[in-house]
Amino acid sequence: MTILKSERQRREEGSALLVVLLASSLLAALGLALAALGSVETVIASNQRAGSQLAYAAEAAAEGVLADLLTIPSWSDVLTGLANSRLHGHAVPPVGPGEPPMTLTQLTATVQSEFDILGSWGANHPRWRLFAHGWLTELAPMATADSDEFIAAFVADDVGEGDGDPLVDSNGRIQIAARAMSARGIHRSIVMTVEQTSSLTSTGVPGVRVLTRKEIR
Amino acid sequence: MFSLLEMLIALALTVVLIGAAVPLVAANSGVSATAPEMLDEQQRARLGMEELSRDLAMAGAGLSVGALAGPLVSSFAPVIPRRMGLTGADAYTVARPEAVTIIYASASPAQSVLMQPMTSPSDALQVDPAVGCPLGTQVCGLQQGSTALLFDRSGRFDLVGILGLTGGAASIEYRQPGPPAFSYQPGAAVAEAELHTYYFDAANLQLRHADGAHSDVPVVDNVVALSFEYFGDPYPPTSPKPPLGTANCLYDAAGALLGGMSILPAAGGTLASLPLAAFADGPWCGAGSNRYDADLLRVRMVRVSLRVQVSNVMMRGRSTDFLVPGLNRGPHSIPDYTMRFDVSPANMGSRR
Repeated sequence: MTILKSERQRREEGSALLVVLLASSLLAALGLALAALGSVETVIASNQRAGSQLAYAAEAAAEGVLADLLTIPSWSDVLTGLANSRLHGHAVPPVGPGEPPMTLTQLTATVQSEFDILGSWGANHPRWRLFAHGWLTELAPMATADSDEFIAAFVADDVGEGDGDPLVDSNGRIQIAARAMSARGIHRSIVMTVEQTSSLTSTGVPGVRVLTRKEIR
Repeated sequence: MFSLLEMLIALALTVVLIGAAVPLVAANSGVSATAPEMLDEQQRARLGMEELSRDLAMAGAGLSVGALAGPLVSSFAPVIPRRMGLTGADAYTVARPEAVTIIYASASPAQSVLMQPMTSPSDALQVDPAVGCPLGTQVCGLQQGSTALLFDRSGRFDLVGILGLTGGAASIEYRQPGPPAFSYQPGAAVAEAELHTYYFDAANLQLRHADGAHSDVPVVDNVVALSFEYFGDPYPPTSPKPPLGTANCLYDAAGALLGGMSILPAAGGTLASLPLAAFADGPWCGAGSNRYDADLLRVRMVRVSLRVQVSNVMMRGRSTDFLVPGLNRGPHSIPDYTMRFDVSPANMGSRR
C-alpha cells in the first residue's frame, strides 16, 4: 500500500531524528561531565591509596631486613654477599605502563646512581648490594591477596666510616634502602642507617638500633 | 495543521513529561552544584593531611654520622607546640593547640661535627670534613640559603641559615628572634635540616606553613579549626644526658637524674596523654628562645584534627555542622569536613 504524504510532511521528515540527536548529545555531555568529575576524584583517591600502600610495603621491607640483621653477627658478610635475607622471591621488578622491562641488576644500578648524586666518599664510597627482593605477599603472607607491591632491599656501608673499604663494616653501622614499587610506575623508599648494639640478643647476636629512618619519594 | 484533539494530547503529554522531569532536573542541578564543592572540600582536607603527615612522620630524623648519631629526640625535642623561627615566633613558655613546629635532619649528606668553637653569634660555621662529609665539598656540602641544625649533648639546639661560604667556613644567621642558645664546642653536631611550622591563621581561615626563615605561605584555604594533641612515654625522659660537670634540665652536674617529673597514666595503651599545660610548666631544657619543656621529650605520637569548610557561602547552613555559618537555608548544604589522624614519627619511637 502506498502512503501519500503532503509536501509539508515530506519537508519535516527527519526532524524528529535531529531533535532526538540534539537532546541525546546534551544529556550525554552532561553525563560525561559528571562522570569525568567523579573519575578524576576516583583516580586521585586510588593513587593516594596506592602511594600509602607502597609506603607501608617499604616499611615492611625495612622491618624484614632488620629482622634478618638480628640473625647475622658480622655485617661485613652482609656487605660482601656472604649473608643474605630470607626473602629471595620474585625476581622481576614491575615497571610502569609503557616503560621497558627492568632487571634486578638494573634496579641495583638505579639505587647506586641515585646515591652517587649525593657526592663521593672516595675509597669509602658505599656500594649498594641487593639484599632481599620479592612480592610483599612473599614476605608477609597476611598481605591482601590483591596486593601487587614488589619490594627490594639494598644494603651498603655507612658514610661515616673511614676504613677505606666499602665491603667491610668496621664500626657496626650500615645503611639500608628499602624500596616498594608497583606496576603503576610509582615507588616509595625508606633509607635507614642502623647500628649494632653492645647488648646481645638471646641468640648471642648483637641487637640492632635504628639511627635514622627517612622516607624518600 | 493540527487538530484540536492533537493539540490537547500534545499539551497533556508535555505537562506530564515536564511534571516528571522538573523534580529530576532540580535534584540533579542540586547535586551538580554541590558535588564539585564537596570534592574541593575533601581535596583540601586531604592535601592538609598529606602535608602534615609527611613532615610529622619525618620529625626527629637525625644524623647518621658522629657521636650524636641517632634520633634527635635523644638530644632535644623535635616536635614543639608553638611557632618558631625568625618571624612570628611564640615565647618559649607558650604551648598552642593550633600550631606545631617540626624539626628533622634532611636527607642530604651534609652531616658532620663542629670543628671550631662558636662562642659568638658572629662566628662562622666550620665543620670537620673527615666526619662523614662528601669529598671536595665546602662546609660538608651546605649550600647558601640552606638551613643547618646545631646541637650538643646538653639539650640545646639552634637553627641557622647559611648566608655564604668562604674558604671552608660558612657565614650564618640565627633563625630565631632572640640570642642563640649556646656557645657550641668542637664535636657538636651539625647537619642540614628542615624546620616546618604549621599553624592555623584564624583571621584568614588558612592552614599556613612557615620554614622558620623567610617563607610563610598558606597551604589550605577555608580551614575553620586545627588542633594537635600529643601522646607519649608515660615515663620521664632520660635523654639528653650532658657530660659530667654540666647540668641540664634532666641531670645535675654530677650526672644524677633530677626528680620532679612524674610517671603518667597510660591512656588505654602504652602511651600517656600529654595535655598542653604539661608543655608550659617546665622544667625547661635548652637555652635562649629555643627553650622547651622537658615533657616534650616524651612525645611519641601526634593526633591532628583538621576541619575545613566549603568555600561557597551559599553551600553552608546555620546548624552545628557549620563552624562558620553560611546563607543556605535549603536542602543542598555541605557540612564542614573534619579529618582526624594520628602520626607516630618513626624516629621518635621506642628504641629497638
